[in-house]
Amino acid sequence: MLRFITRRLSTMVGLLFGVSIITFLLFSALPSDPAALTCGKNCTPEVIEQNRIRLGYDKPVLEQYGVFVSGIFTGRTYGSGTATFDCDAPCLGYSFNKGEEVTVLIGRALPATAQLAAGAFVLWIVMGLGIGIISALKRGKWQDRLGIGFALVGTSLPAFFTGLLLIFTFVFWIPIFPAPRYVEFDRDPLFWFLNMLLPWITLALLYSAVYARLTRDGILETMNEDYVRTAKAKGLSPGVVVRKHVLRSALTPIVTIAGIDLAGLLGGAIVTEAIFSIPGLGRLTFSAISQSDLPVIAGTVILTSAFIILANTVVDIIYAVLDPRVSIQ
Amino acid sequence: MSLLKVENLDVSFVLSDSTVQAVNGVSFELERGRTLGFVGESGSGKSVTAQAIMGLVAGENVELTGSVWFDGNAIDYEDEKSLRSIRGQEIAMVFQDPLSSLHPFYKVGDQIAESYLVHHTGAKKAEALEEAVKVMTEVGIPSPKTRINDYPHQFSGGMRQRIMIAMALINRPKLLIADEPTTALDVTVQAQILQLLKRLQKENNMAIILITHDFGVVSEVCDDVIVMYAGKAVETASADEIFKSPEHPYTKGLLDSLVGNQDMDSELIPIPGTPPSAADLPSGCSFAPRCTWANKDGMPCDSKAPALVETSSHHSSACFLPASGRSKLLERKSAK
Repeated sequence: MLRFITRRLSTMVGLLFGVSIITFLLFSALPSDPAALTCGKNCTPEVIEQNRIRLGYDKPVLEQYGVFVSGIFTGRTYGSGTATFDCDAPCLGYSFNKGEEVTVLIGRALPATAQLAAGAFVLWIVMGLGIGIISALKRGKWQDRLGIGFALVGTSLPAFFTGLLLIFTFVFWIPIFPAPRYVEFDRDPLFWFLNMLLPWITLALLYSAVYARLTRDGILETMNEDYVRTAKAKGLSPGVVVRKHVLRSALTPIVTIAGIDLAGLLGGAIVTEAIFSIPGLGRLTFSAISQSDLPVIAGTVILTSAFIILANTVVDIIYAVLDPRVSIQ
Repeated sequence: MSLLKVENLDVSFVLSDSTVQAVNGVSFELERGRTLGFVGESGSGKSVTAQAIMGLVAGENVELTGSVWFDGNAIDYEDEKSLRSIRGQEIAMVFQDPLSSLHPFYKVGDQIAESYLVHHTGAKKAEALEEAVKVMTEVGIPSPKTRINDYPHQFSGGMRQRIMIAMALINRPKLLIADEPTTALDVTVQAQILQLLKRLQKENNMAIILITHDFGVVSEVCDDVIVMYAGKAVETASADEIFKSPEHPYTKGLLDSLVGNQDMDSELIPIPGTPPSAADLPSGCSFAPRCTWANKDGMPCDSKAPALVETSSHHSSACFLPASGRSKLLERKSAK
């Protein structure tokens, strides 16, 4: 077990290096000039050149990358002469566009995204599994048709559509919810909850549709397993057969997908955060991309990758616990 | 009074565009402590018959008619609750592939104990596990006290089938239905499992229905035999009779295609053709298209289905060939 985790973590470090290299290479291949975006209308070629040197974009990509990596482990110092400042390890860089360290920016954006992801996750698991289980048990009946219909609609509608539809319906038409304005949980829990509910629903609709489908198909497939027939032959009631023998097998693969989906969402839900004005990682990434803000882009990409790799490891461990045939060696 | 009496059992599956009759008018009786073999090729309806008796063939698209008496009482297939009290308690079942028939996620001890707990309300888990260890010892699983904590995939095929048998036996059922219990096992293990079933039968005075396509298995353990073809019983007799003087061309064909049933220098004689699909049965005798004697001497094989009639005491067959001299006729064919 310990060996498995160490091996996974070392693989993770290697993967993160790979991801960050690719991010740097892609960024340097972009046609836009990050230095030119630093001074707006007052730009002269001289100012741009000065800023380029100040930001370090005049150096070769590999050297920029080397400075970035050493910054993570030992910290780095920006500027020269008297106008210097330190960025302590782990330093993911400094955003000149925002005038703050990347770790600070991420640290501020992460809680909102985590709240969004966690709430949506709970909702979509409950909805997805619930609808999937009902559909499977009522196969061919109206409940099943309704469930399949929901799954089809849910996967077909993009978040920007359902999000706006929800805002239009429940904020303007039937004003149950306040206009989207992010408030931290400790300041006003009720307002926070009301404000987060619509974005949670938006994301949950998108994901639960897929989960409903997976759950339904998984259950129907498991129903035909020989061991389910054995369970019936023992004289178990249909309820126990489904709960103990069918669901246990049918839901195990869903753990894998759920873990990775949750991790992906922790990297930020760009569209949903934009629609509902949630100052999370998605919004941070989006603005960094539109401003060619390399340090922020590199930071968020690496963080998201780390989440996904970690989730994979956790999922593998959970899977080995759930399925005794799988051993992690 | 016999333990199990089945009369005119019909099982049909209603599909969207047709009805498939999987079992057609099967009747038989089974006494306590006896073993009845169901023999036939795949698709002959032997498994469906057995599962129908336990009420395991159910659903909206299944039509089940006929009557089944168990231990003097008619089984009511509409009454799910009374069915459940019979399943696993009075009638237990062992299936073909023990690996896929055991739940991969639960310890074998828990799976065996579960059978006990369902039918012993109020029993403690520890008590059920003790029973599990006892019955595992009976079926010959070494060091059962530690092995109850293992999962099915940690056992060999033969041991897994012993676990299935232990699970079926824990409530001391009056009837055990074994559906191809040795088909998925090595030949050496097959004999052990059959020996085990015989021993357990004697110890518990249990009746056994053994479903198989293998006459070798029949000769090993069965007292009586029902040969099934396309959902119908085509011949019923004692096991000795079946081997000595088969009366149905299909039975004869099965025996001729059995390895080890001929003289060393004679060849195996396969039955030509394949069994008909239950969805598309030939009119008349279902076996006629594969039968050497079909329609000979003015027999109406293609237009009428022969009824199962008693030809001698405890020996019945469904064939138009004249009963007298039929065995001789069949004998001649295999001799050439």
